Amino acid sequence: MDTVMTASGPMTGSTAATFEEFVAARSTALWRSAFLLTGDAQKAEDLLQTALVKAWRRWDSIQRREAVESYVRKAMVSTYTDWWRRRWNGESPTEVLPDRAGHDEASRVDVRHDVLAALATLPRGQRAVLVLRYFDDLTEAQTADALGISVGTVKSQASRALSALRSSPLIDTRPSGDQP
Amino acid sequence: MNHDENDATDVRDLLGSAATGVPTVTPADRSRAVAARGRAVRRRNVMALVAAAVVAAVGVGVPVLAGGDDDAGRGVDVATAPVAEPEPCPEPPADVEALEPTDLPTGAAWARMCDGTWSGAQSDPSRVRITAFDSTPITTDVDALLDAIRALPTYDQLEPECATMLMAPTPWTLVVGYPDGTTATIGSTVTACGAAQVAGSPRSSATILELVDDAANDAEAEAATDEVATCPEPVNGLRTLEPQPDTYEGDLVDFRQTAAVVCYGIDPLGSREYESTQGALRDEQRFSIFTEAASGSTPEPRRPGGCIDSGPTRLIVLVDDEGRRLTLTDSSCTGEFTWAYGYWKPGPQAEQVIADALGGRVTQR
Repeated sequence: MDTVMTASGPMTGSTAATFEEFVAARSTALWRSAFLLTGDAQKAEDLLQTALVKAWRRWDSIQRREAVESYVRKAMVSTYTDWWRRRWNGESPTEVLPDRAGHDEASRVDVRHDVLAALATLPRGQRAVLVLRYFDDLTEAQTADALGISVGTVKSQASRALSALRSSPLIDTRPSGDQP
Repeated sequence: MNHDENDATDVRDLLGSAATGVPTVTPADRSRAVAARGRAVRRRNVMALVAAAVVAAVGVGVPVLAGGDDDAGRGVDVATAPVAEPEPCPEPPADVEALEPTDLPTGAAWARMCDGTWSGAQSDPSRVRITAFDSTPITTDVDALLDAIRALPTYDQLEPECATMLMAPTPWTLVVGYPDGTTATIGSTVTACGAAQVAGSPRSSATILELVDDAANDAEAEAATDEVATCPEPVNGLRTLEPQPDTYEGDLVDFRQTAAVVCYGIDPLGSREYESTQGALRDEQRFSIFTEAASGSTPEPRRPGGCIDSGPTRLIVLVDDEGRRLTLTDSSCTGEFTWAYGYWKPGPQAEQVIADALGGRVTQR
């Protein structure tokens, strides 16, 4: 039986027998990680597909099926961090968001927008560390392995990223009791 | 609990709340798209293998059949004969709204990014954003690039983020050349939140440009064999620098730099800040710059109003004792350098070192 994981659960291993089964079980969760990395639905899809192509081509030679997700995630973040210097500067965010219907929906979208905007101010490496550590729930060692960096660098980059978000005007990280 | 532990809990919640979207592509469609892209890569590899085998077979076979040493070069001539030289970009640029429909067939010899134009530019040229596309021709694995572009999903819905973007028109074209001398061109008026027509369907402009950039960088990385700090070839003459891909991944403080060069690309708007376009950093200059950058990494500063990024204008290319490269790139209006794991705004002393390496300032920044 396949082990299907939660969207942000740890890499306990998917044992999908076929590539299609793996994609069906895990690709939506991987897409969400890609979305947090890129902040863009279409880029997330392309990033995920780029990583999946690498797994597809090696499918028959990957002996441990539970290692597939780790392989895809590693391919995804390395492709992403490689993208960082290839930004196309054709767009600039506006200061004003369009009107939205429904207070709850607007509030939810606002939070999402603010979080993505705050993430966008981080260097790509720090952003990748945050997503792997705190969304994908990888250990520091797994994060280091996925990014090809040392555990010490993971720690320092995570600390810097948290510090940057702490001081970001876009995000309120105060405990709920401190809020007005 | 300390600050970071508290923040980690909050960040988990925030990331979870920001990643609640659902992809528009179903897993089944995704599997099919991935398989198509994978087969395209495999096809390309097989073709490359066959080509290599043909070269080998002809190289060995021709001399045997000819029975003499004087024909030894014939195999090479046969194998390399039908090479099409990349043509320059069209001048004036092609109108992206009047391009001939194309399927971007395989068998291409080269591809290159070129400027484009459209009807709005003729009535108001000031609306066109100045963008320095890397127009260096791509001559390796061109069919793989075309396969990847054709495999892109139909772009039939704007991303939600596009509702909050002010898109400056940035017309671009991708010109593809074939051995028989014909060309095919695709293009769009925007680099994101828009599409180019390929094989009768709209495909995301942003993704096409990423794919082209990817192909160009792959080709460049394959060709790179040097282990010294060198500046990349300027794009569009002297106007813009495009950093080469890093071959070092990791924190700057762990980088054992042994050589460095500062590169300068003249501002696309025409102003010139330094006397020279490149200059090697002497040891003491290199240590001074490196020490400040490694210790002064900060979050990205907020952009002041009216601050317009103009693309990479200054690079510091560092090489370590294993020949690995790390590039610090200044592509912003605020004058700070970025790399994978940090930002750094040089202080007055570091700015002076950079200016000295580039032969001194011509105008103040």
